[in-house]
Amino acid sequence: MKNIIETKQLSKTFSNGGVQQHVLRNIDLQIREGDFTVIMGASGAGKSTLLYALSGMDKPTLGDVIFDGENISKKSSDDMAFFRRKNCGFVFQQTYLVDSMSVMDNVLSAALLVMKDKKQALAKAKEVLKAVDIDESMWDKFPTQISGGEGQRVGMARALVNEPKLLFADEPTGALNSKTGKDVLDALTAFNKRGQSIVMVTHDITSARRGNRILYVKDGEISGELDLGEYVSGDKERHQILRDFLGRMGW
Amino acid sequence: MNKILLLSKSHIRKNKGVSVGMLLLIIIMTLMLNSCLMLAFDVYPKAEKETERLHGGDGFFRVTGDVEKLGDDEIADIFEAETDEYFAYDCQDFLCPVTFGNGELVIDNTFVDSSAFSYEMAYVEPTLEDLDITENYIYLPYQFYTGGGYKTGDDFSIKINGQNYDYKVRGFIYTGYMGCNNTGDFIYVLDDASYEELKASYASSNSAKVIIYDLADGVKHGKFRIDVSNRIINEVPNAEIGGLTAEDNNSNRGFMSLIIAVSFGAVSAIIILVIIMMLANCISNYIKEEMKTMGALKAIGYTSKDLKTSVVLQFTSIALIGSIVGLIISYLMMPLFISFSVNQMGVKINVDFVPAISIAVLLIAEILIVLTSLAVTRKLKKIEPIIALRNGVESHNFKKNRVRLDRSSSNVNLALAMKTMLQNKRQNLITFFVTGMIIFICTIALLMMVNFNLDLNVDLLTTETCNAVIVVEHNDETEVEAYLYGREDIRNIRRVHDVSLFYNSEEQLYATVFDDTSKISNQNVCYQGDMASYDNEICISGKFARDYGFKIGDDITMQYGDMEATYLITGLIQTSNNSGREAIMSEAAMERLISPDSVITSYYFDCDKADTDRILGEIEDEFGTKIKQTVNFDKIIEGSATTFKTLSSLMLTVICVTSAAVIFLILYLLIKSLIYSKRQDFGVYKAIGYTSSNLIYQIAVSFMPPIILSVIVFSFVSYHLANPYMNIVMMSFGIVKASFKIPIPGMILIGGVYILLSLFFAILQARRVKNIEPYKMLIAE
Repeated sequence: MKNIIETKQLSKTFSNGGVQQHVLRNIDLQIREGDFTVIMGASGAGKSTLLYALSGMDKPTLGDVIFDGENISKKSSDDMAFFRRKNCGFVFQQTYLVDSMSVMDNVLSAALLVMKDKKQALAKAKEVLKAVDIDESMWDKFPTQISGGEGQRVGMARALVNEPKLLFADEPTGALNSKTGKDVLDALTAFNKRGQSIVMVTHDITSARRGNRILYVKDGEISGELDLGEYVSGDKERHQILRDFLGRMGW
Repeated sequence: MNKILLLSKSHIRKNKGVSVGMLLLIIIMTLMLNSCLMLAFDVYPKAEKETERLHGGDGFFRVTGDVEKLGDDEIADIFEAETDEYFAYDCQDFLCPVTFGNGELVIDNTFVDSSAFSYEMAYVEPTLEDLDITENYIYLPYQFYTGGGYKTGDDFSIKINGQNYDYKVRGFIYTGYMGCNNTGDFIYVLDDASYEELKASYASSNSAKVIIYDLADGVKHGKFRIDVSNRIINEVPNAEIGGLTAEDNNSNRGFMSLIIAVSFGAVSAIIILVIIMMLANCISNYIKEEMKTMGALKAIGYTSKDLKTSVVLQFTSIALIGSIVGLIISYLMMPLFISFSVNQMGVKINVDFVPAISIAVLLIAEILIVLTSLAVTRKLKKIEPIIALRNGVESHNFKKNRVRLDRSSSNVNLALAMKTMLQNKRQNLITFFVTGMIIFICTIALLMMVNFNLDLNVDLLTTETCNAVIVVEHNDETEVEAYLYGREDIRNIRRVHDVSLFYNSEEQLYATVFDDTSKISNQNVCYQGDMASYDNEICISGKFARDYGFKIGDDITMQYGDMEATYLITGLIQTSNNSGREAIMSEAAMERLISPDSVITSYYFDCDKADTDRILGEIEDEFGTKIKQTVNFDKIIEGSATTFKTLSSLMLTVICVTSAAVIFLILYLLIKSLIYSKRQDFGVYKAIGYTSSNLIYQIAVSFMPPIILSVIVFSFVSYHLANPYMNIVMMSFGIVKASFKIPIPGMILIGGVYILLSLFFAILQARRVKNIEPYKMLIAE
């Protein structure tokens, strides 16, 4: 399978009051097209930092990120914005919808960046909203008028409307209850099955089970990797394999 | 109190940008306000102080004519009873042009000898002397140094009755009277030999006496001047009586300071309104943004009063610092502002520290800030800690989805800009009204620049306009008049007399008398009613009519000496001459009070501007000493315009700089606040692919609709209100119903420049959105 992202000696160091903190250390990593890659690790291990470095949202201190054959680590911030609008979708722990815009406008605000044909953008927005199970009656509502789970799915629709090469999800169920969290994970799984590449950060085993590849980050390095295979609902053995792996990693 | 101080310091640290923006606005406000008050209450009274310092008493008379008949006994008889003190001196008086600044001034020129330095009253004081110049010298009034372009050692030439007199400038003099072109007269001190020579040239025809007086207690000044004038005329028939009260003299000298003060005051008032709006906006935003902190503070025991006090203290300390800095800058800039007044006042002015004014300015700034802060922080009382901690006191309440992206036909960035604009009503209102105020003062600056500088509105400065004036000796009028009518290069000849009439034995009214009022070329001078034509008609100034309750159709009884005549008021006139105390009547009307033989006759005529000097030269050659005076009117206007040009240039500069600074600061504060409050949204936009340029465009463009709308609305409003506003401002100078030109292309230019400048500043300020890093913004929560 083709690598969609490849990192070379990826490092990220934060400096705070003269004290340097090495959050990512010389990571060499490949993300494969079509995979549902899950990044796990303890709090402060560098999971989110790795996710945002891979997506070009944050720049590495050293090393390169090759995204679909293109080195994005040296791009300017505006070039990165152009790059993200076509190649990356983001789902965050908080919904981060723009409160002053309706559900439909939130999705369209992303779609219209890429699609110059308004009719096409509108059709695509409707399609993804339906795909994440957001009923038409909610399209004109504002984010404060819908539930957290619905908001997260709207965020997912916004992330997917431009058919990004890779969807990045940072703890997408972290702020949701188990029922709405499951709905979100189901939606992500369904998109992955249709070929959408996903990289998700989580510290929740239930969420991590959805991935077919698990990367474990410890002290800024990839300390282990597990190939879980395609997700099948109700596969109890899969859960145990993951538990064992995490146990070995010191989880 | 320590905890409140700590909180206030923390607020300031957290809101450095807002603090700096408010600080700068307060600095500008106190700078303008202190300058305004200094000019009005310290500089303006300097003229009065100068008159007092040089022992000027309550006023003076200047009597020209056969003054030998006005001996010491006659003067004592007239003045002794009603004055505490008086002093008379002999002089030579000539009405003739002098070169001043870039033009000429036609003015009463009073020449005295060196005894002027030791007069008992209204003495003069030398300055900037060069004592090496020992003969054929002259001392000029100090205004010649400050505004006339002369310095010690220069040559000074004056043309009297066709003959040039040349002197060396030995120095300048401080003088209480006759020291400023606005009072219509100048005094010069000659060396004794030169004075005697001048006196000998004109025998007694130009001899004059100046009598300074200090009124006794209880004497009515107006009545005193009429009585004295009548008694002088009884003693010296055909005498020309001039002079001024100290009060009129001082207000004429200080008029420039007052005008600048009024203008600065208007700008300060506008900035005060801007500060109130911005402060209210900043505090509201601050409370909204810091809701959680406020809730936490309340939870740990801070009361609403503590929080309120900390916010008030934050802004009052900024106001205190801003006011002090503003005051310091104001005092540093005062020499510049004063220089404009000094040019025109002819009084040496030092910048004094005036504690009362400075304290008043500090108090105004503090009270303004305290009251506004208290009013806005009232909402802190309503904050309940638990609700505030949930950030839920004010939730988003979007009732309507304006500019729906699925229906908008515009580009997505423009549509998002419009969304941002429609969500910020307070921001829109502030930009709308601030823009409106700035457009209004810019319109006033444009009006002043066009009418007082580029194309001086002469009609308002003088009762009648023409190309040339000649003043003819008594008994030679018929011969000269016939000659003028015989020339083909002269048009519209008007026979004119200037007479000083009285109303109600108290008030002076300066009447310009025409042989035929239908020949007046400046018919605009009569702004209401009809021009007086018959012997029972008069036009009086609108200012005089307003002051004394006259209207068109009323009768008014005028006095001259012992004569009285009643006239019908047919129209109202306006002119800044003689502070607006003017009248127009026909020669036939004047004859009911005065014989034309007893007043000076002038001829006003029009000709090609380029030919004026040649024609006047030929008239002088033809008639010699029969012509007392020739005046190239266009040159005179140029000379008189210097004051107005200086004023309009100063106003334009101050208004442009202040307006630009205010727009910059307003946009700085509003955009900073907008970016701060929407930082998370902007982080999301960046994350999904909007570039910094997209966001800068959205922010900058969101400010444009209220600005453009305000420019259009207030350009229209200002265009129609500028003249009424100017009428109010200029009422004290006699202009009641001005119709100053306001060029529409100029208005379009102002509007266009304002919009472009605002867009430029908005883009400049919106660039700070570049600093938003989506990653940090999103994980910050």
